[in-house]
Amino acid sequence: MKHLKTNISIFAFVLVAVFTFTACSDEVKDPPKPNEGELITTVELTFTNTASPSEVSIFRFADPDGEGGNTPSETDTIALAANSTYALTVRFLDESKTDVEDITTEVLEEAAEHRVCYTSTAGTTVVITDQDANGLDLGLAATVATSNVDNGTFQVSLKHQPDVKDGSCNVGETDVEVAFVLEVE
Amino acid sequence: MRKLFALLVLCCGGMLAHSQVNLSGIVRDSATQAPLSLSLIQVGNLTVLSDEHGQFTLSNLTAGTHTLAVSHVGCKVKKVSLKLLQDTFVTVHLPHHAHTFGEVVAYGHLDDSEPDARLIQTVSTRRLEQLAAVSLSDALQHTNGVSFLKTGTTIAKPIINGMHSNRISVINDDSKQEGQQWGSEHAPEIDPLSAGSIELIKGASTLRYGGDAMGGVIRVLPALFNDSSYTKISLLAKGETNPNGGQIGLKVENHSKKLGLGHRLVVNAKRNGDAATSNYVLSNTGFAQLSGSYYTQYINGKSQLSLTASAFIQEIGILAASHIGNVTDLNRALTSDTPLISHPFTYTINPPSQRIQHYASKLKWKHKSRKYGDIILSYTFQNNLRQEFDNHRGTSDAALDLNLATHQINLLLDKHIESIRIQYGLMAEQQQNTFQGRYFIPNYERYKAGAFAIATLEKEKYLIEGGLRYDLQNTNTYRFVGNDLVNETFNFDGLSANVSGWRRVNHDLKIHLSAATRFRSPDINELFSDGLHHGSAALEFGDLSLKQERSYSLNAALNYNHNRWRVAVEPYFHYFQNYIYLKPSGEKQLSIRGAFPVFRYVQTDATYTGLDVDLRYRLASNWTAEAQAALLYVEDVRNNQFIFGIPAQRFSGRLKYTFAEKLGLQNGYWWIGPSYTARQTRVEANEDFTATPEAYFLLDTELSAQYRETPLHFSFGVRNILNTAYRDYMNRYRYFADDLGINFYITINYTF
Repeated sequence: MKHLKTNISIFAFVLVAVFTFTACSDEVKDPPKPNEGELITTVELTFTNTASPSEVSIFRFADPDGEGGNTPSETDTIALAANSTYALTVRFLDESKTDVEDITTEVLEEAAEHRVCYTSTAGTTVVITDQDANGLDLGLAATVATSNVDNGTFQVSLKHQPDVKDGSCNVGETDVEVAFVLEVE
Repeated sequence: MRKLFALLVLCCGGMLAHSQVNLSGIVRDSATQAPLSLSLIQVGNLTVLSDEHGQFTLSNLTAGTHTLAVSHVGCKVKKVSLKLLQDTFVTVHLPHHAHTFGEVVAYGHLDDSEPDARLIQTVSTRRLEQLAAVSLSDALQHTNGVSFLKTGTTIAKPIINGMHSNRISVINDDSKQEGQQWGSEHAPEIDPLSAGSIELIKGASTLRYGGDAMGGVIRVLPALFNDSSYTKISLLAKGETNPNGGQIGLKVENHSKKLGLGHRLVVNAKRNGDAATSNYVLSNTGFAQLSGSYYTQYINGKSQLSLTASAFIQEIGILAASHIGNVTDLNRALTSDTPLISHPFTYTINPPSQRIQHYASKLKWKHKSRKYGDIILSYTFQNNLRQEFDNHRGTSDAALDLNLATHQINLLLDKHIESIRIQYGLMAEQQQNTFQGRYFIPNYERYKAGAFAIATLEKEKYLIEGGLRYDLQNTNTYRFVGNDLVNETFNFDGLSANVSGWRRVNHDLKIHLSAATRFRSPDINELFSDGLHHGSAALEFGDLSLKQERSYSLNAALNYNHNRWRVAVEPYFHYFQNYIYLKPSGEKQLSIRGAFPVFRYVQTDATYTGLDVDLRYRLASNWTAEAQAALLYVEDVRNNQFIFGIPAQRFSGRLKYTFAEKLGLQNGYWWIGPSYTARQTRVEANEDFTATPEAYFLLDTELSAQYRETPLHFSFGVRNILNTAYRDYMNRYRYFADDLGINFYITINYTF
């Protein structure tokens, strides 16, 4: 009799457990689609020659599947004319989805936390022409002046600087850093 | 009631009416069942001290009634009357509140009266309360042969035999703790205040707790109730300066002997602000933890039923300066002597941060059956929620958001047939992981099952144990590749086996040996990592074709106790086939954030050769000197290379003074201890982002005692007395900031 009682307890125990075991699991088979969050896949630079505003060149760097995965699909070489001045605007895009999202608007909304920085060689100089509400450089717009014919690099980086933005490029976290090959012809 | 009670257990041999009888017995802590060595047993004018196993013998007593007086450090003399008619063996349980401060860690196989081949160390309830430990790593401080893999100050994972994460199992009573343990910055979700004691089992000396714990097992046990009716309330408080903060814990325990019913409620809360190094504040390293558990136990004759429910909630700030976007940021951090972000001290926790919740409930049934021996059946449900936030999205949208639910059933049968003990059992587990938002590991559903059998033969001078275990698992993963939902299936199974045992060579020397083979299935991150790891400047790639890894392990221990010496020497050797690790590949991959170094999970063959040494020498009646060393050499033997992320050699020592009464303080100790951690030189050139940190020397001290005759007990201590600026190779923050500077702390325990 005692044994029977024991056996019944074990049986009940296992039964309860088995029920719990086999429950749920539909959620598992329905994972979220990738890249639903914010992702910057593309940097797009638009150079407008200030002497002839119809002369507009667009250069792009694009890695549509984000970090890792496939290698970047577009890595343009920037070609500029010697001894010229250009108005530069930059756009950051998310092209991982069918609806391309312009992240630049977010950067602009949070201008006080962001800074676009440029490092260029080959005798070019970059002067930032836009500022945030605190009067610190933002960098979505700039003037680029070239000098003699030369080759070099033109690096664009987007810094996220919440609470630490001081106008410099030496603080914060780097969200974008692309080094374009630069040819001044 | 603090009552001494004795059980008259065994009456053997000998005929009645002997005029002379022998009395022998064992003294145990009634709470932990740990034998109490150096207890003073007095009968008439005869006195004897219990030995290292709590045992004592008094020979040639006259038959008749005797008063047995038993005392131990921290416990008033308690008396019990015995009528001795023949040779008698008694088990004396000293109540828990005997303040048994003598040893931090009890060595040998002391916790368990059962024959056992486990290579074990136990941290007692008392010690856990003294430490006011909020994490497993706090609880295991100063345990020989344990070091920690850290992310800052609050996230720490124990390292045993050089191994951590997936190669160490944390077992809560008898079921495995299931969190996202694959991550190096994911600490085990355990509140030691709810625990009765913690066992540290090194190497592969048992197969009872799963086949994959190659490095060792940390087992958290609930406290036993005293064998009397009582209500006890304990309060615990801790305050410290670095990180500035405090902790309050409450333990309420009620036990009715008559009903066989006991309850225990534990609530523990901790809050601290930013920690500091010797030179600057570590911004955003605040910490908050709220944990609680309820345990109830009902004993009716031969059956025992217990129920546990626990909740654990943590919010941890991640050092602001450690969250970087790319290699340029990292290099800037590396070349800077101070962190690039340092604000004044605050309690506020901002992103980047982690929010972790762990809920568990367990139903356990234990029955003493004449036919099957002890039957232990348990069901455990655990739900682990992990959210990690970065400073891009704030706390509204987690960068990592995982929900892991686990159901487990464990069945164990444990039977003694004369000097043979047979244990066998089954485990079954169902687990499902789901994620929200950003992909890091896929959703999966996993079924695990295991069966084991262990046979132990114990004789007076030796013990030998053999075990066999079979484990299998089936995992189905679900993830999107592009727009396609992909379902992949992984099946792994394998055998584990071990032979362990010890031999008591003579009264002073005991030798322990263990040989085992085990296997571990590749974990989800090793298979599926694909891309940038949150906050680190590296691309990590898993490999879906990884095979299971197999270990062949040898663990030994030599324990020598003679006069003033107490020596423990524990060498070990592990050979791994298909050892899985994250290897820097040397490649760089271009992305929109610049070029990142690529790390890949690879398989190779590896060896772990190590030695843990613990030497203790009693200088005088109150003074003890201790020295510990932990040496480890790890090699990738297939490629003749060093392996990344292995702890450096460590040495520590301690000078300890114990006293029964001094300046109104009772049963206390004071110690001062230096520790030296060497530089890790066994690394491949240019593999890491920076050179390994320099060797460092630290000095700590602690005073602990009971205030007069009151139940007030306190500890006061200072860590890093010299305020040394140092970085540790096993701390991920070493790239960004120094480790902790000087810290003063005080812990108070009061029992009503």
